[in-house]
Amino acid sequence: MKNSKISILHYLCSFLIASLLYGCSKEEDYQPESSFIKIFDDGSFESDYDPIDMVQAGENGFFILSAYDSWNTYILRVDEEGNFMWDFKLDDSYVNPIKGLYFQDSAFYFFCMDDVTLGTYLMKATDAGKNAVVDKSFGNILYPLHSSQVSDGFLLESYNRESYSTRLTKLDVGFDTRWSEEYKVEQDVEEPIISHLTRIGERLPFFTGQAGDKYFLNGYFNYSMSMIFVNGNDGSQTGVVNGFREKSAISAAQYLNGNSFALSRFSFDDNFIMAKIDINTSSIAISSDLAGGKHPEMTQNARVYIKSLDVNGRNISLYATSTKAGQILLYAFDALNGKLIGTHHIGRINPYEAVGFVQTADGGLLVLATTYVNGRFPRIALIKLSEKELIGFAS
Amino acid sequence: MKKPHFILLLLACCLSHSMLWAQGKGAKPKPYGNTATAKSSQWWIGVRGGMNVSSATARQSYSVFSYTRAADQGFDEKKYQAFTLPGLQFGFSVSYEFLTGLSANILPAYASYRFAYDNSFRWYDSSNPQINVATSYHVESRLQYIELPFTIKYELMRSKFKPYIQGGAYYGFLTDGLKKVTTTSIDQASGSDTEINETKLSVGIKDRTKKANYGLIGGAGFTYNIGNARLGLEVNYRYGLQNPDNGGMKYIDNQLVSGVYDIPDDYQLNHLELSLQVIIPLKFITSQDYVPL
Repeated sequence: MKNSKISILHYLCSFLIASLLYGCSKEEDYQPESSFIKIFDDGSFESDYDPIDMVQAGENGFFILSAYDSWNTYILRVDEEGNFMWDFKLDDSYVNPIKGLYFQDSAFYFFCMDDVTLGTYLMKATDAGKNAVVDKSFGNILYPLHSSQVSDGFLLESYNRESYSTRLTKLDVGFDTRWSEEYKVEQDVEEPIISHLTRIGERLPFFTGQAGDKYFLNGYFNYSMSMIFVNGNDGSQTGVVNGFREKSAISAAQYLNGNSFALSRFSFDDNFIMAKIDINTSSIAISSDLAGGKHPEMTQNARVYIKSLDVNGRNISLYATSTKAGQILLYAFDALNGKLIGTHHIGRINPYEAVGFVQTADGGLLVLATTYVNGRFPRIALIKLSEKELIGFAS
Repeated sequence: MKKPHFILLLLACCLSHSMLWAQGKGAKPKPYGNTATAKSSQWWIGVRGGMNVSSATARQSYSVFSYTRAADQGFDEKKYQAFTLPGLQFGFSVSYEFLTGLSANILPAYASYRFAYDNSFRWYDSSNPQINVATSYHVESRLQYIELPFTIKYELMRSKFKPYIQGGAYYGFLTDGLKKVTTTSIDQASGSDTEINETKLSVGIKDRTKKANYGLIGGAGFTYNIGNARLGLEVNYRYGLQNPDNGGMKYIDNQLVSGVYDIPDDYQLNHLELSLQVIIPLKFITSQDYVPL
């Protein structure tokens, strides 16, 4: 009798221990820095934010560059968990902050424009100052449009209203000018550029980048939005992919290797993705001739952002764009063969629009977005996907 | 091993030891002046059911919003409603009365717990605060468990009417979870000063809730002899030792997160329950050894 009771007790204890182990398995405590969604709100009815770019500040969070109230400049500093640290609204004379945000020697650098002279400023922001001040002035570079980092410096695309030309300026790592080259535009495009910059009209897909020993830029050339390939040493043009006015053009590009690119393009109301396509950078092509999968779910003339990422040892091309349903859509393609690996949607009920993304030091993905809080107030949003979530659809 | 788990294991071991001691030396204590022998031990089985109310308390709050103006910091704090929404529980009871008046009980049951909180947001024109939009969310959660409470019960009197106290621990397996969110807005900016746009959203949260929950249980009640059976009523308080939220899913996007800005807090869930029960002696039916207790 006693043995049977002890046996019952053993079963009971074993059951309790097994239950505890069951309850603890496969469940994780929340790691605040690994996964979050943050919307930065000032509670204001009239505020209008349009985020532009972000950069990771080592292991100390992120720095976000945004436009507010049309084309004024706003900077926002957040910690690694996405919590607000400080922000700063620049004086109204510093307008048109452009894509391209850099973290060097504990300082953040970005470009913006003087609202009267239209010249370009290199701005420097620090945690110590909690503001942004002019670091360099480029009075002869008008209408800055886009900047990017290359292997030995930076590219700065602009539009010269005096010579009717798109201009590419190569800067060294200290932001000093190496060379500058212009590409003639055969029509007056100042009006659509102003509409683009002030956000009262159509947003245009200006971008720059590096493809081996060449650089490329997307901007006005001849009569259309075109992707121009130039020599990396002096900016002399080597090839072009022509668009059709602003109606048909390349919308984003990421160089892969050899002659291969990951591209997206739009043609009137249609969007196309070419996850791996060869382009002769020394010839003339037409964007609408480039084959690609049609994606009707994307917004009209969708803004697309492409980067090459290493996810769990696999080289992928990650596309971020916005859908007609008001969601952010991430496409992960195998960079080797251009085949789709997976997709991931962000945003429900309230609209979310992709603005950019970076792969974080912990292997996760940080997506910068515009969201319309309560369906109506434009705000900056940060969405952090953990490495596990990223691997879940991109590997 | 995490501390709450350790406490629960320790409790289980203590209870086991007390049962062993009771079985081995059960004849020595004389709680009511009667000597309890092996023949006086008794098994009871029965059914029980009743209602409960729950209270959730935030231990660590979370929000989608990060406010860039000091005046708005903490604006969207969740306001929990304590012990308001009724839930149900029903199941069985199996008791072993190993000493006169002292019994060990396993009370397997299905339990449904409900709790709610409110959250609100407001956007206004800084130059004219009358121009504003306010949106409120009423969030109601329902968690369902199969639970295995284990208690030691001590009867205070030996008569037809038997008041008792009991204490122990419970362990529950989640079977389902659901959140219902009701959204209302007041849009004074558009000329309305009454609530409009009431919308309702129901989203399953089983994957956003930990699969198991546990805690301590304590309470009091009484039984009354009716023939060979006992009819009883008891009140128990359950003190949750675990945050039921599955932290790994806290910010995983769905309609709740990016749609109605609902990020679950880390919280503690306590319950107050009232149960009716009917139990019958098992040994009386199956054994000739039964000696009335």
